This record gives sequence, structure tokens and C-alpha cells, in this order.
Amino acid sequence: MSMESLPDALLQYILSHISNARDVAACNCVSKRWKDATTYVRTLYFPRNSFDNPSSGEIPDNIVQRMVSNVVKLEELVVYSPFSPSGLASWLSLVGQSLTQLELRMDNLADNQASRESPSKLDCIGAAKNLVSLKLWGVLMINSPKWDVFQNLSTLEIIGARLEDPVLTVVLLACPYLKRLLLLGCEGVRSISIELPYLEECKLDFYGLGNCSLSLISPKIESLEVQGCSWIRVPETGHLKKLSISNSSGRVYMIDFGNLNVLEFLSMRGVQWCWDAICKMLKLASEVKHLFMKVEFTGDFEALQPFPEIDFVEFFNSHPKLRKFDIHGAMFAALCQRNSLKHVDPGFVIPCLEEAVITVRSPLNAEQKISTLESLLKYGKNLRTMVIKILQMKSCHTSADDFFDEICRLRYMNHEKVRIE
Amino acid sequence: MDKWPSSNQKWLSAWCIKPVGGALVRQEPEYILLALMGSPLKKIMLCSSEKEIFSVEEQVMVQHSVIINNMIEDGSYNHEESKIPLDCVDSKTLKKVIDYCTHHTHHHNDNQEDLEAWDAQFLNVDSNGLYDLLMAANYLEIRNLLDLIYGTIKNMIKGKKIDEIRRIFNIKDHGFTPEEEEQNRKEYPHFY
Repeated sequence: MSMESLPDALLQYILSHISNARDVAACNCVSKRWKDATTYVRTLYFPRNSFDNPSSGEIPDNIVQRMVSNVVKLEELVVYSPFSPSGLASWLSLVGQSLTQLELRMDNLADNQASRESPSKLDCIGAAKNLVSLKLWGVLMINSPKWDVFQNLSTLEIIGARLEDPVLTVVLLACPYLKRLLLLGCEGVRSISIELPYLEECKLDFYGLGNCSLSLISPKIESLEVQGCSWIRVPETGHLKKLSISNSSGRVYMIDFGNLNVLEFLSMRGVQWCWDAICKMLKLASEVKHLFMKVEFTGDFEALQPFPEIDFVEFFNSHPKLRKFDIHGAMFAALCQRNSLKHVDPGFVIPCLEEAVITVRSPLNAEQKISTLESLLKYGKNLRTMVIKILQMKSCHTSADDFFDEICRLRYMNHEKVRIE
Repeated sequence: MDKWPSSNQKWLSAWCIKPVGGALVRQEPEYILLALMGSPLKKIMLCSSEKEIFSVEEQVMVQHSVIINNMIEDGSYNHEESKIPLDCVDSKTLKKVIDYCTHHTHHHNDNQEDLEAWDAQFLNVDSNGLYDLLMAANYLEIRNLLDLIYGTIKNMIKGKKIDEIRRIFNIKDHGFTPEEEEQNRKEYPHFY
């Protein structure tokens, strides 16, 4: 007995899981039986180089169309190779009803001409009415697409796009049932208001001057990551468990959030945050279990200011559930003030802390810094690991060497817990 | 152990498993337990299409084969006198299937790399052997072996030229008319 005698059902099951278009095309030519079996393929994936060596003279759009038409109920189509709007329109006219997942490399970021073609590639996507997931790479979105509402769309991912605010608004209006929204590497957004009642996960990464404003009203939101905004308003946060705010080019100056009672993870990163925003965030996140802080400077205006001092005892008392703590450079320095450790209440303890990662950059105030590290070890009864990362210290200064020696001594005294990287 | 029949699971939860003396420390808890219970590891008999009998640990087959698990659970298998007839599976293939199930039961704590290497070696057979294993795994409903074989078959197809695929899968008659075959060669010349 050989593979030839494989029952049709098994052959169909095996071949239906082949998705690379080249392999499907090959299977179509192996034998009549195999060609019949590949009609049950569920996914067709055309890699970038699918048509790099066209030897048959047929245009790629037509080859894709022919393959798509050979499939009975295509569920997922992924096309990374170049295509035209008319090609896309022809494919979607064949499978628009059954398609639930569509991923396209639009590749028209550099095109200014293409945006005048009508209908555009973006318009054509509207024909896939039953999409559950849509993922687009390299899109130019400066004209609003003519879309009806996508009734089933729960995931939208746009990676690498040039947007304009009104176009983004129109796009989001067409996807009212979204649960997952990812806008990564997007340029051109100034101010965006998102009102998606079912949204649970949102990841926004805006390029530019870092001065975007964001308003997000999604009562079910559980995970939010924002990069590049200076003004953020999220009033309904009853379910928010994971929050990450960063701004590598601009200043974070206004944070307006509801209660963060169930927040477990908070990450604050950026070049400059207003002190008010930092305090507000830390105050709201009182239940947080994992905190990551890497902000370089504070200051309410253009001028970059160093941080005011943060009281060690008060900080840990107001975040009693903290299990993992990751703090960098300038913010760590702010925590190392001389007064907070002078008269510590004997009952003071950092109850839940298990892991601490401290990144030090400068040997200034070495004594305070060592003292703070020792306090973490002393009051953190459950502390299992402390990692001390030493970054870019200017070693021409002798105090840097002394500081390093002190850290090594600390490590030696607590070698089960402390590790240097 | 999650796939054991519920009767076994009740025994396990009632017992605290402790190593008893140095010699037993290296054994897996299941064996200590059953040794303590005083009964030898339960075996079942499988009978190949060539009427050869293979004795194998019950828990090994029950963990992997839905068919055998169902037979034991619903009581249609009598340990004292029955053997399970597997008329569609020849001896050579049955031995390999038992090998697979036994290894995966005894080595389920191994790291992923080692298991994958063992699997790759296990499936290093010709396409007829692979076919026999596929049919046996399908009949006995051994999910992980089936998935493994499906993956292997897919890899045998990926990136290959059509003539190669036909050779590997022993396809002597492709069933296309001469015109169809010519059309295919025209459309995809670099696949041949």
C-alpha cells in the first residue's frame, strides 16, 4: 500500500493545510486527485517574491485570481507580492463572502499618484464584507475609503502608514465591533478620538513630533500601549490591566485616566514627562504589581528638568502590591534622597517585592544610591532577585570606580540575590 | 496522568507519593505508586493483522489512543482473557506504533529538542512505511502521532518540483489529459 491509496478524506485534510501559494500550485499539477483535494485549501499565502521570475508571461494578478478561483471556500488570503487595485477587486469578487482573514502588503506609502486612482486598493477591501481580521502593511491613508460597516471585524492592524486624522476616523467608524486595534509606525496623526465599545486591546505607535493627542473611550479596554502622545485621556478604565505609555520624541504632559483599580502592569517611558503627569499616574496605579519606569527628565515646558526627590518609604507604602520593579537612571536617582531613609518606621516593610531591576548611569550621590539599594534588600522581605545594570558610566571619573566597587561589595554581601549586568 | 481513566486518578489523589529508600528515588511517581499497591503494571494485548500478539502497558496505550481508551473505559475489554484485534495494522507497523506511544509516555518530561529529535528519527522511513503508520494512527486515533505525520508529509511536499513529488508519493498515473498536462507545464514551467 502506498500514498497513492491514501483515502480522499485524509488527502484532502493534509493538502488543505498547505498554504504557501507556490506549494499549492505545485500540488495542483501533481495529479488530478491532488488538484481536486486542493480545492479545500483554507489559506493562500503569496510571499513577497512569488512572482519575481515570471516565466510564463502571465501577469501576477491573474495567476492569483486563477489560484483563488480553484478554492472552494477560502478563509484566509495573505498577499505580500505586488498587486493592482483591479487585481484585488477581481479576487475579492470571487472570495469576498467566505474570506475571514485578509492581510495585504499595500506598499503605496511612497505613491502620491496612486491615491487618485479610483477605486483605490483600500476601497476594494470593502468587498470582503465578512472579514474578522484585517492586516495592512505600508498603507497610504489620505483619502477616506468607501467602506460599509464591517459587521464581523474584530481585529484591525495597520503597520507602517501615512494617515490623516479624518481618514482614520472614517476607518474606525466602519469597524464599530473591534476588539483589537493596532496602529504601528503610523505617521501623520495629530489628534484622534477612539470610541469603540468592544475594544479590549489597543496598541498605538505614532511617529512624528510626539505631540499627538489621544482620547479613548472603550469601557472594556484591558491592555493599552501608547507611544508618541503628549495628551492622553482614557476615562473608562474599569478593566484596564496593562498600561504602557511612552514618548521618545515629545513630552508627556497631560494624563487623564479613570480609576486604575485592576491595573497590574504599568510602564512609563520617555524623554520627558511633566511631574504632574508622573505623580497622577503613580497615584492612580496603587494596586500595580509590576512597574517599569524609564523617564529621563521632567519639566512642564521645553526645558528638561531633573526630578524632584521621591520619598522611598512613601513610594513603597503607596504601592503595596508591587512584585516586580524596574527603574532606570534618573528616576532611580530621584528615589535616593537622603532624608527618607533617616527615620524609617520600624514596622516599614516592602511586602510583595520579589524582583528588582535597577539601572544606574552615574556615580553621583553614590552613597545615597548604595544606601537605597541596601534598603531595598533590607525591607524587601520577599526579594529574591536584584539585578543591577550599569550603563555608560563615565569611567574617567575616579568616583565611578569607587561606586562600582561599592556595588560589587553589595553584590558580594548578598550574592544569592544580587546580580550585576 | 491527566489522560488516565478516572478510576486510576482517584487512587493517585488519595495517596501521597513519597520516595521510599534510595533505590526508588530515581523512578517516576506512577511506578512507585503501583509498586506500593502491590500489583504489576497492567498490560493489555494487541493483536496485529498477522495474528501476532503484542503485550503493552495499558496506561501507555490509553494515554495515546482514543479508540483503545474508549474500549477500556466502557469495559468491553476483559484483562484476563481478551486481546484487542487490530486487523488493519500489520506487525511491523504495530510494533512501531507501540514504540512511539511507549517512548512518549516514559519520556514526556524530556525537553522539547530531544523529543523532536527522537520523532524525526522515528519517522525516518520510506513513504510506504509512512503510509502504514498514517493509516494505523488514523485508525487508532492517536492525535499527536497523526499531527506529526501530517507535518512530515507537508514538509515532503514543500518546495519540491512536481516530478519529485510524484516520485516520492509513488504517483504513476497523474490522471490529467495530455492537453491538461501540457497546459500545466506552460503555466508553471519552473515547477517541473
